Amino acid sequence: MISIRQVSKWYGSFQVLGECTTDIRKGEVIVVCGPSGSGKSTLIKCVNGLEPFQEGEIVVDGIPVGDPKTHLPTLRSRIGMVFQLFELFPHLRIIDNLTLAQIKVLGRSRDEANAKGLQLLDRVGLKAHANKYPGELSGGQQQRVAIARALSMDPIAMLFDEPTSALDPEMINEVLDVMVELAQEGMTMMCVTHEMGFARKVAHRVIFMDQGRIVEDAPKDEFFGKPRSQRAQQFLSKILHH
Amino acid sequence: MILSSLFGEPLAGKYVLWLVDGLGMTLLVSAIVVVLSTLLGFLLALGRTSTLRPLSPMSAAYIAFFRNTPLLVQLFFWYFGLPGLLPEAAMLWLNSPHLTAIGGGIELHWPSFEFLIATLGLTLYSAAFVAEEIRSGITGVPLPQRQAAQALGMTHWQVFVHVVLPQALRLALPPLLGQYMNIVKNSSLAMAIGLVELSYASRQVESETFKTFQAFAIATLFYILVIALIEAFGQWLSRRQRVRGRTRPA
Repeated sequence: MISIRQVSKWYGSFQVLGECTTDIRKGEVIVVCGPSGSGKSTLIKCVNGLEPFQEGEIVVDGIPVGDPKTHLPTLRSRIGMVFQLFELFPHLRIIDNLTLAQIKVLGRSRDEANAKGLQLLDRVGLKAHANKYPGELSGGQQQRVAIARALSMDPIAMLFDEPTSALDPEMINEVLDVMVELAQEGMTMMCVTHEMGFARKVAHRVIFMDQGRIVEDAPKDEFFGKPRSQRAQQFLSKILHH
Repeated sequence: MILSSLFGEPLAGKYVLWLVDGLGMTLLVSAIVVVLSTLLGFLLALGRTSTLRPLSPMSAAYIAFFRNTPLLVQLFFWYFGLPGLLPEAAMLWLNSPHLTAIGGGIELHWPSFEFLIATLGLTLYSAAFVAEEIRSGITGVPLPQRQAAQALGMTHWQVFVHVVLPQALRLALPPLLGQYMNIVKNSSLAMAIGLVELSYASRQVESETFKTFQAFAIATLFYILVIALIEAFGQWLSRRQRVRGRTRPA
């Protein structure tokens, strides 16, 4: 469903992505990890065209992302994205955060969008907060709203950019629970995260990146059993043993 | 009586009325300038933040020019310089009184040349400051907020209208109110081109009555009152919007 071919990107003369290649099939859950600055977030943002890339090709559901003729807003409306700092719209109530794009982008009626929004809020356990503003919710609650907001567009795939790294430890699980549920329902997911527990539980494959390159791309068991590259071994031992 | 020995005899009612009329003119000019400079300033801010090639430098040049020259000089330029640029017939028309029937037997006076120039000069000047406040509001909305809106499939324009602008205006509001206060105070310079507003009226009262302290004290009080009202309005607004503050962890 998502095909990434030889993607390279530079900021000026500094190369942030180097010939990244991977495929994500429908229903697959991929975890992308690696040290900070390794290009994980940049790669995931290339998938929905939030970051342009200079070389290579990304095709999502048959549509080439890098093609200037591609209408990016239409493509993006079909891919959900969850950000590190939630990025709820602070001036809108929770329910309006969920209905804005449904109404403006998908052309749904207000009633239809509201019903969908409330149903999704219920699903993430936050229906009671529909009329509050984002600033009145905890970080974990805001991130669950952000997931519900992305789901309100009926996406064919979901991108997660470090969804728990800005959260207090006790709030991480409430967000991961929602993600696990989503994965078990068969959602196609690409997750940049260091939550190896989550990876062990639901990921099909783990991608390890370092210095803008995909160093390791292996089935979960293989990756956790014995990573081929030394760099990945070092990384794993660092984040798993302390 | 202690008051009158301290501050002298109070002003006669007639002169207080002159001052009230002046206050009315100050409020009228200020209100019009606030509206017009906000519209023009908004367009300039759009131009300034636009990626279209000629728009941004043109807006920047306008802002630099009008911000970096004294308002009094600008008013003199428009008042004394503009008539030279306009055809003589137009000037004659502008300088003579006119009535415009607006139906229902009501007729409106065409405003005086002084009024038009004061409004024009203050608007062009204030718009530059307003533009900068709105622009800093727009750039103050974090990039990931735009990305989140884009990721939902919104077009460039939808992102701006539904996500960036509402937040930008909220960020810009306190400094904008400061600019509106400046407009009220700056309107006093229009007395130099003969607009009979509050400062002009206080000069007039002073030279008729020689009650210098009373005349200027009342005018000062009026200015303080207007500014205090704007400030109270701002505090009321910010209290109302407190919960809708930032949501991103710092």
